Amino acid sequence: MTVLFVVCLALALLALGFPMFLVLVIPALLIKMLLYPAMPDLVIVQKMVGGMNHSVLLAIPFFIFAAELMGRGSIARHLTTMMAALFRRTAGGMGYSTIGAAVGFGAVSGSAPATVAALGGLVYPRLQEEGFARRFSLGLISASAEIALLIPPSLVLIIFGWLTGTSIARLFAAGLVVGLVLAFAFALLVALRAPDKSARPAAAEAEGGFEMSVLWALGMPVIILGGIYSGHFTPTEAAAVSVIYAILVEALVFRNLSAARLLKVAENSAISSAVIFILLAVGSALAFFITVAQVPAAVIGFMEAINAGPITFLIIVNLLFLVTGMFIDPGSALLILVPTMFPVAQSLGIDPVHFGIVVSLNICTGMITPPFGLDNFVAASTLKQPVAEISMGVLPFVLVNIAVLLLITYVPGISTFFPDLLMGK
Amino acid sequence: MALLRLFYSAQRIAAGLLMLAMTVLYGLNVIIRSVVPSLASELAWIEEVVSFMLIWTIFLAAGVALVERRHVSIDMVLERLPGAAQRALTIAINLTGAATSLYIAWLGWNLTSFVAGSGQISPVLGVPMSLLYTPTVLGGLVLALGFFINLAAPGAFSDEGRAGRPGEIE
Repeated sequence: MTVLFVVCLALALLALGFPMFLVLVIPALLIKMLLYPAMPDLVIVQKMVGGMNHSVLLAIPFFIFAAELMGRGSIARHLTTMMAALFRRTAGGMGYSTIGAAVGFGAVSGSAPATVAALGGLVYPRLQEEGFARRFSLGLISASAEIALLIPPSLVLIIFGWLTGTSIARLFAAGLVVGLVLAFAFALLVALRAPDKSARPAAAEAEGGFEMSVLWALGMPVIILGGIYSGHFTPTEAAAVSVIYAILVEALVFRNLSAARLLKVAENSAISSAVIFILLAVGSALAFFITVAQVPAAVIGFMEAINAGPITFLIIVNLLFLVTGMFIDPGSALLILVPTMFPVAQSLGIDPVHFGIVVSLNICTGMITPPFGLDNFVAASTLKQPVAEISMGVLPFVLVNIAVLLLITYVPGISTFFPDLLMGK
Repeated sequence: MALLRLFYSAQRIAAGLLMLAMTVLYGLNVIIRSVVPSLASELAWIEEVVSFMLIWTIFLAAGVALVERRHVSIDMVLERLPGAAQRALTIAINLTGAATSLYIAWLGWNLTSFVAGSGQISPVLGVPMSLLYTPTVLGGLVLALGFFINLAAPGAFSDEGRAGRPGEIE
């Protein structure tokens, strides 16, 4: 009864526009006061600090810092130009380039809005030039950005790994495969909708030639993926080294980074990290009470009562995370739902990496699903286009996305074969 | 107001410097260790320092994020409310936020003094473990201040982050 009241209150706070960290911490404080008055108050703050003080999580500020340095510097621009050059000669080439650039940018950044912001302005005019319909172009940009969330380094996968104790290296390997599957599915859609070959302008030939400097940009994925899978680095170590690499390349090779700018980027990265870590702090206090109040056990009991197997459970997970992903940011969605759902997934024998990928892909899909998908709003403000146009344009991608989601959900092997191959069972 | 501006710029710069120091220390630690493995034991303090720095960075930056309006919220309903209701709700949000932050600062203070009283020290550096919890007190107070600023002078600082508004996660 009390739990139900607290859940309703939290939903009300969320809808009324309370900051997300209050939406998470107020229920935690109330559950503590109402249900566990005898428990020392100190436990709340202890859980909060404990929720941040973990070397796995340290990867988050480092990856944010690296992405900030590169997204606003030369490395990302070079990666994008290279991808554009790669597909220049194909019909509808710019469509594939947009997807390729999102994959490339995803390899240095774990954030979808950052990807829309970095790519949108660059590729949108060129898509128009090549004769892609306006709506389709907008939908493509908004949807492609989502790939960046799955390609390592992915902040969503780091948070999932920390919440559940799943290996980040394995999640990253699976995220790479599933990100590429999604990219491939989007590319099929581009192939269907690509404008006539005759409409291909010759102008595209003039720009975006291959430069040797692009090789410096490729150093990033090499450090992150090579470092982790050769066993040299933990993900956190790879993240820290990638920042040092980004600073050196931007400052010494591209000569594009002053001390003042470096400090500004560091400040902004600290603030972006704080926004996530405050959620992690209050989220782990909440997760503690969710566990103490035996919510997962109740859900397991319910699943047993309705005789649900893994398939039914995953359908419920799909619906729950998809809808949640439409409304709230991925970090909070994970913090609220994973502590409840993961023990259930375990009791049903679902592979943790597979479950993590299903959950992340759901959240990604939710982010582009109209009318509320948050990514569409970011794309609207970056590209200065009406949200309604983007919502219309993104619809075919949402359908493709849901098809991929079902495939990934019911064929666990797609998520698990690559981590198993790289790191053994 | 000028004093507040100075206060927040100082916090911003401090958080930036901590971020930079944390990254460079951790990164160099990794690089040195893989080049000269025998130095690894000499560098054990880095991991510990960085974990303290992280908590301090977060609580310093969280207050800045609040006045720069960078924290996540869903304001679809709030934005569509008529003027008077919107104002009333904004007041309610900020007062609730301030009260919650002060409560957390108080809990943080209890925990900090409890840990300080126990004389617990960190394993490598031997500094008091209470330093890990002090930021919750300061952070709670600064967050409460931020909610009051957002109440009295909304948007006064929100231009600062705009110039280089980076990607929030996702």
